[in-house]
Amino acid sequence: MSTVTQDLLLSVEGEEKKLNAKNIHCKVCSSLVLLPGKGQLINKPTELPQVSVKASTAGSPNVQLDEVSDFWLVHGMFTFENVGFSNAVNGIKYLLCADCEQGPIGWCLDANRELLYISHNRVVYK
Amino acid sequence: MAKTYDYLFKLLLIGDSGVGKTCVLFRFSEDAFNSTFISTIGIDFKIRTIDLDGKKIKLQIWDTAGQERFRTITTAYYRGAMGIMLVYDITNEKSFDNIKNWIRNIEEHASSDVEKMVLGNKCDMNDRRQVTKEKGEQLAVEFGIKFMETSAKASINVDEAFISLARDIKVKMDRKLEPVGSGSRSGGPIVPKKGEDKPKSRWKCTIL
Repeated sequence: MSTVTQDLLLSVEGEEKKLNAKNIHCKVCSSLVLLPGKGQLINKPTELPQVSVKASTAGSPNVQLDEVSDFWLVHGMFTFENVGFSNAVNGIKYLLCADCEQGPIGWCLDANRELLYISHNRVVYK
Repeated sequence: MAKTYDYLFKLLLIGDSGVGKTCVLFRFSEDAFNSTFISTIGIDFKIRTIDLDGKKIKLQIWDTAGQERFRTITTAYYRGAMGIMLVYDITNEKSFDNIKNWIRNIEEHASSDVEKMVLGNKCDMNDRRQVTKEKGEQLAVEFGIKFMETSAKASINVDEAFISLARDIKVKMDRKLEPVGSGSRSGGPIVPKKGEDKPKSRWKCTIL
């Protein structure tokens, strides 16, 4: 069940796509990530690493995963206003805030940077 | 999807480790989010959008994190770069002295028409200053490069520095795009001027 409320969606006459109606910002520092109408709401259940890493007793970082479903699909990395890309891990690059560097706020395949996904739960709208 | 910008510039940040290059890209305290998933895996590059004279400019910015020693940075790293920020730390004289080595490295390996700028970072830490502003200015004059003191932490001059570098690249690019005089087309083979179409074609190869 999507938690994206109607006020976040752009209503376009005769258009099937659900686009973001508001600016998308970083939750922590409010840096502008994406302009209205540039992201398309999709349901894509994905496991996304949590923002903080817990130190594990074994010494290696213990990455916790969140199950996330609501994403804004963005076409092309230059569609973003401000965003950072992590190094790739297992073929995936994670997206982060370009200013405060918190994240992941989304992801893309390292081999396909034309399709990028921003997590609805990890951003704010203005 | 329609193109949503007017210009796309590829920039590099280089300088010794610890000069705060990463922080030049970021407005907040470097310690704020230390033990996070992102800091564990590291950052590759950032996309930033600035407005310049009513034109929308996308900057794709790489940091040399992890390969700071200038000896290890060669042609492949500079390929397609249109602008380079040379960053030193005003509280670390060694990082300032090394700027000359970095410039030499750029002259050796980067495209000859790459725009350069020198940044003296951490100018909020005046009490620990080892490099005077005058020394920075002198070096910049010596090499004919623009200079600014910045504080990523206190948000001083960081945006201005990127806008200034972007403006210089844009001016250079606009000049290249100006139509050639009618006389040059009369007879003879068309020989492209040195470096004329290089930035664009190289740029394409390096995005993905």
